[in-house]
Amino acid sequence: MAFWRKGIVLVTCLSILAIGLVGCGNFRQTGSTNSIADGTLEPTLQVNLYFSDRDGYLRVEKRDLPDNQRIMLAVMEELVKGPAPGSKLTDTIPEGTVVHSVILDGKVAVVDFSEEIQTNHWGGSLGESITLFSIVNTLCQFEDVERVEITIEGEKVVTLAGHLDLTQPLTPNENLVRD
Amino acid sequence: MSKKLLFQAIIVCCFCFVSMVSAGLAIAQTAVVKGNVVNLRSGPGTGYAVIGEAKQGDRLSVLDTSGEWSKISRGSLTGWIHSPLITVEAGNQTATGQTAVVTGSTVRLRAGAGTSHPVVGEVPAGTRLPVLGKSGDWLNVLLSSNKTAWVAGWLVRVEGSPAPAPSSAAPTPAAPSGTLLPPVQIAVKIAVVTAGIVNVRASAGVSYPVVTQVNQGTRLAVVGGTNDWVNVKLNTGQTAWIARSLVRLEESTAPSTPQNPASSPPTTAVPSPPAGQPGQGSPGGAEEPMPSGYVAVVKASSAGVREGPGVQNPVMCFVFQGERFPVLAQKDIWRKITLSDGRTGWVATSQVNIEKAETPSRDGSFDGSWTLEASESGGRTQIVIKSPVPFEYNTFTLSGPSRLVIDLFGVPNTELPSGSTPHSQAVSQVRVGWQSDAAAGRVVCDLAQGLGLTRHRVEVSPDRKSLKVELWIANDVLDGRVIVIDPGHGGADPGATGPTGYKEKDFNLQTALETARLLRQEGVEVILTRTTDIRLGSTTAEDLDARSRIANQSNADLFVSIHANANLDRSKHGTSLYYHSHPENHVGCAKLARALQASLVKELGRKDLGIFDRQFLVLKNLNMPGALVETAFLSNHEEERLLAQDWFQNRTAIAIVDGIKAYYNN
Repeated sequence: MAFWRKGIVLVTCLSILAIGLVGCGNFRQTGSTNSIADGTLEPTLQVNLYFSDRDGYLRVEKRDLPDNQRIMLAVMEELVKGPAPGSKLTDTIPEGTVVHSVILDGKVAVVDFSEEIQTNHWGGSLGESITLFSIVNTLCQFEDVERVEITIEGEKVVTLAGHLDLTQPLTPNENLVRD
Repeated sequence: MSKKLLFQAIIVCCFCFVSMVSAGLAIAQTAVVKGNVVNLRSGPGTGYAVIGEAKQGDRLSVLDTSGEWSKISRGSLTGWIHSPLITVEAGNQTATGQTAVVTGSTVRLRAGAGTSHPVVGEVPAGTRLPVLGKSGDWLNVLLSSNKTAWVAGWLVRVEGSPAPAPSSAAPTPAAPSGTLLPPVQIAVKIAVVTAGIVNVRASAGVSYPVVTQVNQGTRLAVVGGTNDWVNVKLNTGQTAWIARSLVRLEESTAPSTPQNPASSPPTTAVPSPPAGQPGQGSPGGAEEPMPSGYVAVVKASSAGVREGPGVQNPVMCFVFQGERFPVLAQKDIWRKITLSDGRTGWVATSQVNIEKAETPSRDGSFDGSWTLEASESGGRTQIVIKSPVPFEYNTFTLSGPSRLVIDLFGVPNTELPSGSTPHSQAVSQVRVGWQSDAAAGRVVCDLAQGLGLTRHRVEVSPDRKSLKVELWIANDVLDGRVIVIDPGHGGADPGATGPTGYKEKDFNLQTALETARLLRQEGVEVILTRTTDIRLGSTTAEDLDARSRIANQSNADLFVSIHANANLDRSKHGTSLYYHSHPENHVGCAKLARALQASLVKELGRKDLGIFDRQFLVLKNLNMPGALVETAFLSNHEEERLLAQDWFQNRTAIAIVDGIKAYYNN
């Protein structure tokens, strides 16, 4: 009974997200599909993940993800995993970090990370900027997201490593990106 | 298996604890969720997006209502919920029964517990607000609008027992006479000095004279304060001011034992009001006599004198800055004074300084008048002002023609000293006058024209009876400037760490000390935000806030923060400069960053990575141009080795000094 009601709520939440995603011009359907357990086919979507190059700039790695309602969470989970094996790019998120949630609040995506994003961070104005803008640039590829707020263990934070101001949601930084 | 059980038990315990805590932290109106699982929406209607959900029994704070919808908050998330799905509890059921009485002059109310939260309102001194809960130093209070807000604990005095909540809806400010009042407990706040040696000033601002200095760890009773300054009581019984950023506030657990009868605030509970004073209706606490020989000197521009010790008593008259009245008695933050017409009344300690009176001569007036001497030595004009009684002062400059004005509050209004025409490079004439509206002596130095920038420095004697003002024509661009040098990170926050373990906070401090030494040789007044391995506050947020406050309070000309950079990939190396473009001083910040970057790249020979405009917290609130130096990469093997060397730190300091000079020369 309770399970059934929860299911309804989940479906409601997901449909709201799905409605939000309709009409995202940024996306290119790859046309490929994934076979899922009940035999139906799920479409995939090619997304941009921003990782760091050796020179401290952000570069895009493309990855195909299942095109469903949890795509924003999935894209953050992929960012945490790091660049593909054999890539010349490097991680932007400290080891051990877990993405707890991505909630859309108007045009602001609120991403909650575990404390490792702070306690395992290597510091520096550049190091901090690369971590934050890899997250912000990646999430802002979605048309529904204009700004990104970062929380840690559910709490608002003032700064990640003592430099950038996190009291206001961040907008993407294109100056840090190299093609 | 047993591990799993244990883990589950811990989770359950934590959950119970959290529930207990949240039940104790009261809020104005609490919504309890009735439905099994209820949607939270971004607006009041089913047409709005679902942004979260709440479960049966969840307790949420109600912020607003619109039709059949209630706006609620849970943690940082706010949303709308359909009202039939919740039960709203009345606010006073969870009130603590305590009342916060505002002691600071005008106190800000904030949306959350800390200065990083937005200001939602302001309340004047004396306002009484029911206390709902507490978080750290901050109190959650109920406003008359039935909304809640947060107020800094050091700006209020808490009254009333934390016993079970009263059954009446609103707390009564003053009980009718004859009723037994609950025991009054005055929370005694203690300011513990956190910086090395800290100036204690006559009033809330760096322009006020230094009364004394106190060492790190000194504990002082707090009697009031503003957002940036804490009013403390010294051992002498005198009250004075310390910058909020340089102290940590603690609540004293035991009632403080009086050191002498004149200086201790009353901390004991008095069960009923003293009989025979029906008109003064003050809650608890009898007045204590003050030993003779203390005067209250009005420090606010004007202060109300009340018929009794409390804001509920009517104001009988006003007294003005610099006026002095004998003190007869004290009660809480109130002092009973004798007015010039012989009547007595009460003033708040936040409005006056309590001082030991000078012995008047037989006819009741003070002996002598104040004097002024001007002299010239080594290109510097020295003006010495002496008064038979302690005085306050204020200096400011005016242009067209340019002059320096020194106002002297509290000097005797007797014969004025004569002016002077010193044979001086910097000063063409010194004039003396009396400002009757401000009850202040005024000294005006007319500055010599066309000889470059005139600088001045003020020094006050410890007894505040003598003031020395030096004026001179600046030798070069740096002479007489006030520059803040900020060694980044520190204490519990090491900043970045190099591959062999060298810490950024150590490089930052050593290089900052070297930079300060070189700048002082150039005649710069250097203010270091830290001189030891400490963090300025218990969190990084407090630390960064304190750094920019120090700069703003000292009216500095420039702010330079010294750091070392880091990157996950160790191959990254080079020098970079960060600034934060403010709408008003964009040009200054970018120009400073460019000048520093050019100088550092030339002197250190590392790779030029350029300057970057980024929203850095330490630069965000500065009132002057500021920049953050990322000298080189501590994460890089070669640069870590360089950063740890004395000579490299010295070269960095030289480059920063040259960069500042270039900034001023262009």
